[in-house]
Amino acid sequence: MKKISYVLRAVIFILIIFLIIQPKKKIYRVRNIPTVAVLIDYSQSMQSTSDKNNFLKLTKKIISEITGSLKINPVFFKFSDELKNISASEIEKLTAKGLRTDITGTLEKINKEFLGKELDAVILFSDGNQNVEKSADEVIKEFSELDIPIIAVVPQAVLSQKNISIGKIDVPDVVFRNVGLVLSAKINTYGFVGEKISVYLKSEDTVLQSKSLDIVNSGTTGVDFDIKPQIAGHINYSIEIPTYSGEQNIYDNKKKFVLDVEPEKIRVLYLCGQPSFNYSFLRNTLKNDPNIELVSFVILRNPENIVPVSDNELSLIPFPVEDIFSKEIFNFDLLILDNFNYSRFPINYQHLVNIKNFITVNGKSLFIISGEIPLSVYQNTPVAELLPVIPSPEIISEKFCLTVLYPEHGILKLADDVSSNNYIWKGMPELAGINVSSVGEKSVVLAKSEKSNYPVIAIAEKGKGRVMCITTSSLWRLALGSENPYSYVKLIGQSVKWLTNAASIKQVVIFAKKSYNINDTAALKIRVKDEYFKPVSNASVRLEMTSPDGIKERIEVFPETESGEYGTNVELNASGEYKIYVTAFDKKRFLGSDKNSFTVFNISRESEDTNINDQFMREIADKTAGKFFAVDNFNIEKSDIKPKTQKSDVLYEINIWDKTPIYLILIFLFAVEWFLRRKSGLL
Amino acid sequence: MKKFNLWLILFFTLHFTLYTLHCLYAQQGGKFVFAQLSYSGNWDPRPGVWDRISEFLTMSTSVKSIQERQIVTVKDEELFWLPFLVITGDSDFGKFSDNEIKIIIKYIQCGGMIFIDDSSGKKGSGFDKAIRDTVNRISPENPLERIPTTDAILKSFYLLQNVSGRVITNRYFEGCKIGERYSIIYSQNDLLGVWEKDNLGNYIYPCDDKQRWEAKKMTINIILYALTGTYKSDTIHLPFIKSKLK
Repeated sequence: MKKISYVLRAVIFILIIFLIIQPKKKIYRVRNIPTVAVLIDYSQSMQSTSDKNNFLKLTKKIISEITGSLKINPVFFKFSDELKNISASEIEKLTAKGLRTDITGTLEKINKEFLGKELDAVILFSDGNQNVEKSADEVIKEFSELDIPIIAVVPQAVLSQKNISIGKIDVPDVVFRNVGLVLSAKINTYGFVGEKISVYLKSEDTVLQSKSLDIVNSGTTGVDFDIKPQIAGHINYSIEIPTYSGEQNIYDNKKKFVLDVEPEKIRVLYLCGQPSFNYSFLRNTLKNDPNIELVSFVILRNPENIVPVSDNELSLIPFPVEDIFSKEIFNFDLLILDNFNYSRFPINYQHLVNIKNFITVNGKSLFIISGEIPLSVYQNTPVAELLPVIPSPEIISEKFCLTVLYPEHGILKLADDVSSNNYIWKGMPELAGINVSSVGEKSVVLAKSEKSNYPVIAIAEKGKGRVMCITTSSLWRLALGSENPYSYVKLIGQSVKWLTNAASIKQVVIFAKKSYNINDTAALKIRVKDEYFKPVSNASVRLEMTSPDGIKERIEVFPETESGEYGTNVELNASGEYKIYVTAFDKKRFLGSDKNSFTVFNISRESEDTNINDQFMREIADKTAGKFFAVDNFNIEKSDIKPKTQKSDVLYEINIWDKTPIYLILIFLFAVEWFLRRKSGLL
Repeated sequence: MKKFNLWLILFFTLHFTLYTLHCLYAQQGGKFVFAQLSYSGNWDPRPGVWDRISEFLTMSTSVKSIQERQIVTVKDEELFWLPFLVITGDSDFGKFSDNEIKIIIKYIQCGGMIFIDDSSGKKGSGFDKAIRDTVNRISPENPLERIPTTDAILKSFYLLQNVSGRVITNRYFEGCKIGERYSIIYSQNDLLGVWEKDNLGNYIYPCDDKQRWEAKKMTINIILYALTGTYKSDTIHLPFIKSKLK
């Protein structure tokens, strides 16, 4: 009896525990059919890779293999540069008319689309011709990590087509005039094994070079062209291959590109009135700058100097005044006049007008140094109008420290952070000798003498060009007398960059690619800085674009997250040269302007390369543990798509203890136990 | 009262000397200064040469120079106002301290140039040994090397075929090349000795006239080299110089 009572109590205790914790039984939905995203590339290249019915065959295959299949649960999407959900019934009506192919972007969007939902595999129907510039590595890695295989299906058996196309052309970022470079192009060939094909490099329809390629294997073959651009500017080139018999697409045998050829280097003409340490230091610095091509003349002997030897024993050469000031000057980017007294040479008024035009009309630059010979020698000449200072004939021989007025200006910025820059300038050594002057109209004094307040470094924009003036011949002290001679080198380098308006030191710069294809979207970026080179975030930026038909239109630009940067996207619907011009103001204060241009080729991205990029498709399949098929061989069985997990979300839950009979049993057990105890005389 | 006057005189003399020195350094921004190093040894065996050189330099070239020779020690701050430094001597001298060597290294690296002239005119002299040891400490990575006769030094003003001096100890000068130019030039030919004259205007050290003339031209070339660097090696000069040398 006692034992029965114990058992009853134990059962009652367990029942009470279960009633407290209320355990539930979960009933899961069992997934035997995998969910598959079916991506159909409907870009134009899907049609032109083969006969006109090619895309139709593909859609029919999709309908027959997938829509009727009970083995997968398909969710259909069409894509070119955008992804759209479509129903199974829409597939039949689908035509290949998309203007771009963005496989990478599509996979990214699919990943987001199925965030928090079950996705077991992706079937990708595409020719693999990604023509939106994006790296696929990240997104492929993501699919691999999520364990979602991508089944890559190309429109037809890869090697059955016969075609030649020009793939990627590698062009160096910076190209200089008269400097050799290598243009590397990838030529894709299918069905031409054992044959020879000719490849031409052309510029404006003139054949520059030709190469003969022996095709050993189908696929990609590289070809290099060594060229040396002879002229600077925006030069159109193309790589072309003649059409060979049996080619399926004749439009991808030509690829155009643009080289923006810079002048070799910054060409500097340095004229110095007398040998001096200033000349020695400045010449040495310019000579060691790999971006500068220096031609210098220093006057070693004046007419009053007597040399007791014949001319043949001297290394002196005649100073070619006429050549320099009439012709050669215009081949340079920067003219340096260092204590150069023009009146001692047969330099006439027209020569001085040429100097002025060189700056104001041709947009070149002048760097003028005094300190031994005052700048007042140029008074009442066209050069005087260029000077950022109003000079006096007086040269005072005081020693002085520099007071830097605009340490953040691109010329004077010797360190990235403000405090380090100020520290460098405070530690600069004393200079000596100064040409007394006052600041000129519309000029900026960057540094002055601490004692006398006379301008030492002054700048101005004159017409299209720029002028910088140094009123001392002892700037070399910043090298010899300072802790770090590199500060002097940097100062000179930055001065040359500012003077020649190098992009790195422009206040307002607009960036664009050099060439686009028709229907591309150009992403234009504008960077705006003030005269002290601080980014301006609330500038009024005006962008004008002149399209190939000469129509000028204003484009709205928007501030970007990065301080001082602005941008906009422009749809390019016409081919030819586009010119862009930007101006920026900060509360009516002009900050600067810049211009750029780019070419739009009348070749759509889709017709540029119509070969099937099976390598890319195979890579996607391999890296995500998927499979690769030509469409004829594709079927769902072979794809081996399985659900990632058999159980998915909870279908329903059963709370087995939350029931009336349980309570009744419990009451009954209590009653029996009470009865047994009473019977045993325990109560 | 007398004591006060003496102090007054001393004060004005000192003030005048400091003012003169200040003016000299202040006005030299764009002018050539002949600076000579004073060190522990016979540092000035040719004390009067600069007057002669200066006169000739001003007469024959467009170089503007300061008349007075500047004498500095390594530790003088003024050293860094003087991009051209002459070291002369004729005998062994005490070693420069490590600190002094550091200063000279900085001087060279910041763009200074040193011309060394062994006035003894003898191979293996005490000065030669001591100065070679010093140069090795200053420029261990770019030791002294023979300067080729095609270098810009030999054509910076006069077109010269060979080096010269009061004596021809070597048919070459040596130098330490840093970057594209020689920052240290070393002559063992007592180059400056050819300029030295007595108060009556007679040359103190005998030498063949032609040799003396060539040495004078070489001196001018060294100064022009200090002021123009490798200017005469620029492409624009080459055809002219070649045709003249024919």
